[in-house]
Amino acid sequence: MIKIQRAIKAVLAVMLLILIGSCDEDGSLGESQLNTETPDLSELDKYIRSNYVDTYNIDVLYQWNENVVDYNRFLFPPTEEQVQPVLEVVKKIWLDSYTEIGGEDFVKLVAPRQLLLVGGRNFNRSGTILLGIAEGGKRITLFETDLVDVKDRGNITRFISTIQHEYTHILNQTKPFDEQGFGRITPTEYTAQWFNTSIADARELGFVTDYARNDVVEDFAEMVNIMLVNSNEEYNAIVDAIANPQARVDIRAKEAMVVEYFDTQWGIDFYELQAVTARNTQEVIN
Amino acid sequence: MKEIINKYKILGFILLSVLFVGCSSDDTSSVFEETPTERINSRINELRTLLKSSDTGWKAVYFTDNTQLGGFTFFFNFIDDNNVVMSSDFDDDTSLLTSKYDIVLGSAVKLSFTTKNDIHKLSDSANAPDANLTGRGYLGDFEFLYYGVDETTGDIIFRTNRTQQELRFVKATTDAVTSISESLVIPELLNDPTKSVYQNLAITSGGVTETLGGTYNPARRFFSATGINRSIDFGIAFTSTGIIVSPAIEVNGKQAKEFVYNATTDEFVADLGDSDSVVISYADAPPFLTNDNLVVVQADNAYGYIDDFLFEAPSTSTNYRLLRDEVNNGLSAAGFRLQRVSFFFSIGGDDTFNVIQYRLENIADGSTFNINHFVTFENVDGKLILTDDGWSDPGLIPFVAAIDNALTNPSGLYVMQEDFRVRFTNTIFTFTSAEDPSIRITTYAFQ
Repeated sequence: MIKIQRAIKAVLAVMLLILIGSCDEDGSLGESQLNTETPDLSELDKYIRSNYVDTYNIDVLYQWNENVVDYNRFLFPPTEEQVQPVLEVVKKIWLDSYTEIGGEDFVKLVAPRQLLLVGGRNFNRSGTILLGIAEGGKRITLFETDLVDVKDRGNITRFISTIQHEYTHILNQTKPFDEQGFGRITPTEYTAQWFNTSIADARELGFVTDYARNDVVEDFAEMVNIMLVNSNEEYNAIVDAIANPQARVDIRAKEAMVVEYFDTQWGIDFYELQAVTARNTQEVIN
Repeated sequence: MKEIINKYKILGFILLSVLFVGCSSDDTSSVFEETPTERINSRINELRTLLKSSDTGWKAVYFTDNTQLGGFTFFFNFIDDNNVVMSSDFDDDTSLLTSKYDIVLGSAVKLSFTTKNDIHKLSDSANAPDANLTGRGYLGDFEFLYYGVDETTGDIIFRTNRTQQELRFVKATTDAVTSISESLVIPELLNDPTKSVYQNLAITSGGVTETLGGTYNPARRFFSATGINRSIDFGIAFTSTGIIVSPAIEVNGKQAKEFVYNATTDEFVADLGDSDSVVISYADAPPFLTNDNLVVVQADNAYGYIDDFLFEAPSTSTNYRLLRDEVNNGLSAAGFRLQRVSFFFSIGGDDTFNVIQYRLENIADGSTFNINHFVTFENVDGKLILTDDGWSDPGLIPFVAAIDNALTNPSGLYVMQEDFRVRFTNTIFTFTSAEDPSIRITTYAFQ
């Protein structure tokens, strides 16, 4: 037994020697070899820092970084001069509206951490167009930044609807809505072939857009989107124009669930949010 | 016994430890004198300094994929550490625009044009030269991996980020921007709609000339030539005096790359010395005749130009389109338009019974009626000659005369079975006026 102890001691002694040997220190760490200088901030960068990073903890990526964009697509970064006008529109219509109704901290707490701007359209080889992506609720990619015309309502609506749609996904990922209940309203009309029907035909089936037919989650996001990119009057006109009475009932039932979700989960009066968003949209165009 | 085994084990451990220590090498000298980070930083600084070192900026001729597209000329001036001024011959707008650039580490140190400028026009999924490249634009890159400097020429050598193709930045001359503007007339010379649809690529090597028949695709800046024994395809970029082709054409061990436009002869010439040369020129006739004219006149063959589908076909020439417009202008007063031009040959096996039929459509109600021009045919020297043999409605001749005169010109028509399709699976035949080879009509074969 004593011998074993001795043996252990011997081994420990050897290990200690190795350790001491390896502790030999040649010098201090010295200065970083990486560039730690503060980067030159352009006027645009300063705008982003004060209006997005500091205010909402959202970073805006507008300069190309191949690691965050689909390498296999032929995309390009936005024109620098176009970035700030577009960000002002996004802030006014989306961030300011939610902040006004949801409170100062609403978007700070529930928001994507990055907005990635891409200049042109994202065409698939089949010729269809991808408008936006929300990746894990952390980053929203907005295509077509260069095509935004801040004075054209239709153009703005199309661009903003991407954000409204993707942001709804982020809200849903944070606090889920009643998917089963929502899905029971028009249970048989969901299809992966949604693009084969027109928006008008989709509405006659009880969906606000063609894409809403893709699945329940997209249906919910499209409901929020269409209600926010239109004023209450415009939205009601869309629903009232539907010929099929059942479709109108179904869309109104979905609307009620959206309103209830925002009320119970987020404490937001959705119609107020709709009114503020419509007002802010009008102010942008004016 | 157990204790002895234990002792050996301990001894073994000790020896192992000693061995480990013994294995450590004292040779701690690095292969490089600097750390990887330092080397990357110095490489970044090296490129940054290099880019800014040319007061006159840099020029690059970028062939994104010379198996199917031509080249685009760019001018870059790196005015400070973040901004670059750029111009190109991608389109008619050659104005100088400023945008951002950066030098970062990707798979190697790379130059990245980080906000939109002309170079990004090659990488726009929404702007492709034709439907076959939908979603892929002009297959361009705007990030270039730095591979050092060519010591002889001073060129900066890059490789494209996606496809690893070499791209050289050449020190620009003071007139680089003007030169880009001047080069914009060259594509018009190469693709002049008032001239023949036939272009020849004549390769003279050791006193022997081989002639290939060529087609230039202006949207792709790409030339495809077919000869008796081989085909040669290349992309084209424009210079102020002519063109650059890629890949270069090899002649007698020499490379024909730069062609100069000769205004007197209306030719693009690469003079390789010793009477060797490559010449691109318009031709009055196809370089070799086919027997396709004999094929079309077989019993009951029919060929139709359908205006809705073939007016825009690349093989329908601009000058034919003008004739069609002329016909439609005349018809519109009466409320009609030209819907089809058809050829019916050797009807019922009777080779004297042939018709050129003009189908007119009533614009108001879509109803149609036909004007028939009966013709006889001859095949002479590879040409199909159609001769007047009476009309169904002689009073209506003036309405279709513009096209009919070209089709029945005594000089005849060159007939060609094409190897492409337009919208449908029908074989395509083209008929080109021998008198004025800038007039070519495209038809579907109906058998």
